[in-house]
Amino acid sequence: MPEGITTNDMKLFHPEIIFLERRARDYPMAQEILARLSNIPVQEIDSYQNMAAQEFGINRRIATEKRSLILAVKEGELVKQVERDLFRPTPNEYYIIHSHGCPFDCEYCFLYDYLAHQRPTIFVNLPELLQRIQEIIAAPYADAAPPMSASHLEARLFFHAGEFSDALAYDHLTNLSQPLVELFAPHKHARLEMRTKSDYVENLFGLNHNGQTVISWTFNPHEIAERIEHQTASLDERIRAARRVQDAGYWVGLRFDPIVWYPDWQTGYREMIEKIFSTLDPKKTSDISLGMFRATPGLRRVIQQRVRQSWLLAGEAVQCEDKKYRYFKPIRLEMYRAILGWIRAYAPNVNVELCMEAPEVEAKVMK
Amino acid sequence: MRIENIALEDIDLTSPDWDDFVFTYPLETGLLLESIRAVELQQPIVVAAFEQKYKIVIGVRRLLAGQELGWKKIPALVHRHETREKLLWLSLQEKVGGRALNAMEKSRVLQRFAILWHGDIDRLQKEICPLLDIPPTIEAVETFLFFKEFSEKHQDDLAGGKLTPQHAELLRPLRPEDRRVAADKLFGEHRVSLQEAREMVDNVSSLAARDGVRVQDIFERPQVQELFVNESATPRQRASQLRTYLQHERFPRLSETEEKFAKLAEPLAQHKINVRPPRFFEGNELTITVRAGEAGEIGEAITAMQEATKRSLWKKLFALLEGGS
Repeated sequence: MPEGITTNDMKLFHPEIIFLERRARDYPMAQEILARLSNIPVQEIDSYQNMAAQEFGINRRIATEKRSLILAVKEGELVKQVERDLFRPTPNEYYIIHSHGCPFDCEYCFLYDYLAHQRPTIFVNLPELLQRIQEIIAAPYADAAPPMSASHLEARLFFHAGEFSDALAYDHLTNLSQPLVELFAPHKHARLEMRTKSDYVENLFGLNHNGQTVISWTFNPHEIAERIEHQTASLDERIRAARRVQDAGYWVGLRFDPIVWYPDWQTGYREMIEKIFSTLDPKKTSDISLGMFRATPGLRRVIQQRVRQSWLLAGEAVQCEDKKYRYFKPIRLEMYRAILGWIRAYAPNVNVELCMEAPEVEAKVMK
Repeated sequence: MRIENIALEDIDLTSPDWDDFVFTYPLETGLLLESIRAVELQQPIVVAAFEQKYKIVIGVRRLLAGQELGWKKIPALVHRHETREKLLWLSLQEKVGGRALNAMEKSRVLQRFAILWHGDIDRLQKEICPLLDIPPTIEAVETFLFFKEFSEKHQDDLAGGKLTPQHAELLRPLRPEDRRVAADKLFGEHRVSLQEAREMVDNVSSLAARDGVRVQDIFERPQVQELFVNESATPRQRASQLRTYLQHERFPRLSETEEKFAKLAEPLAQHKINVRPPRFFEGNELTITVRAGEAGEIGEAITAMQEATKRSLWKKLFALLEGGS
């Protein structure tokens, strides 16, 4: 475990200092957040870009950065089309970039190799963001590649709000879920997914979602959540939150991604799946995705530097064609098949997909 | 400023911070001692006057040689009322103007300035790294600062070039108590390439994580101990055997598959047919190479491949690519 990190005692994010971009000051969202955090010191900055903490030790740097909050205006794309990867054509999916970085600290997070710093950064130019989403929803989409999954909806356009940050980690400060959920409600061809490891779902209740929003949770056995997913809600807390959301009529997505090999993974994943389906209703589950832990060389190096003898590095990971490290193929197949089998015992009809996986692996698992 | 003859006993050589302005490592006087014996001291040392005693700024080895020769006094330029920063710069400028600094000396320079500037990384990168020929990055600064955590033996190895900074950096993720053992076992007798070193450190630390033991415990396993007492092997062979052992232990499933593949493909090799799987068995195509020195050998190879088809050899090889066994 990284030094100075306590684990799975999720508290709502409460920064120790706020960095406010000068140009962000007058946006209503910035004003609202500052009002909610009125006791926190505020320091004005020119740009959110060069804000890496100047401290020795990667863990100290990350810990310092994650204790702060930046309120900024997003430069460049506010909504980004998901890029094609080695394994599939350009999908008809988009990332909603409402923030960068995350107050949670999952050791496997790709953002450690993607962002220049780890300061939680909320983009307050919400009107432009909503406008951009509206434009994409209104544009012709008939020629676009088929979506990855549409088992329960007529949706052809998919928007993800949890790629560059957790989708709900800041919701107690931003209430972003409300305008997003309501924006998607009237559009049958567009689906919003809010992926999270939080259990803060209060703002979702009472909204007119019209079934167009999926709230999805990343799940891992409690040993992994405890050792590797710091500051997040515990497995039990996530399951309880998911149940509350299902009861409010939302679809819930189950994301077993990344699946991590560790010495007792069979017991851990089997018990976790039992636990999930003893509480959640498979009929209100939109879809399930499985993704094996994968790491770029850069992320692998960050993990090595941060955590001595991490379980993330314990599995037989080899470098694949796309340069990412994944578990040796027979191990991936064994894990996928086992986990899929446990899922199917409870949810035989829910659509299950693999993430970022070679076609031959997907074909063998899904046959 | 004039040269003064000052008493050696008035120069601090014992307090915990006596070497505040000293970057030289190691402090051996060997050849210098002989030179001073032969031609006497040709250059005064530089000291700074503090409340009780003088502190050495430049010429620590000359000072130690004088002490060994039993001198009572030594010629010195004495700085009075200078700031610590000015004295550090003075010492550094003298150092970088002479021979190239070794890794430990660079580490000491960064340590001293890091303390002086309260860990101002930005300043270290901008002002010190260029003088030391170190990349101006946080990672590089941290690497050199990390060397202070090494044992004296490994600091000596770093200073003497037996252990490179790049090899030493690989040990950083290990527990301090594991570093010494790992450095001895992995780089002790035979210097492996950086790539091999990285692979070995990765494997040993991942093994420890998987098995829930210390890195030291891996090296204490009988199979590893045996490698190090095998006197018939050269240090290079021992390093190679250790590397193979770690790779095999770290990747049991991959190793097993590789062995199965090699065994299955062996009969074809006798007919100069080389069959290779994709790297790490990712992908679904085999690479088959046939070598022939005359027309008849091509016919033989084709026959051997047809035989392989009859014996389902190809199916078995492809099954290994698909994760089968």
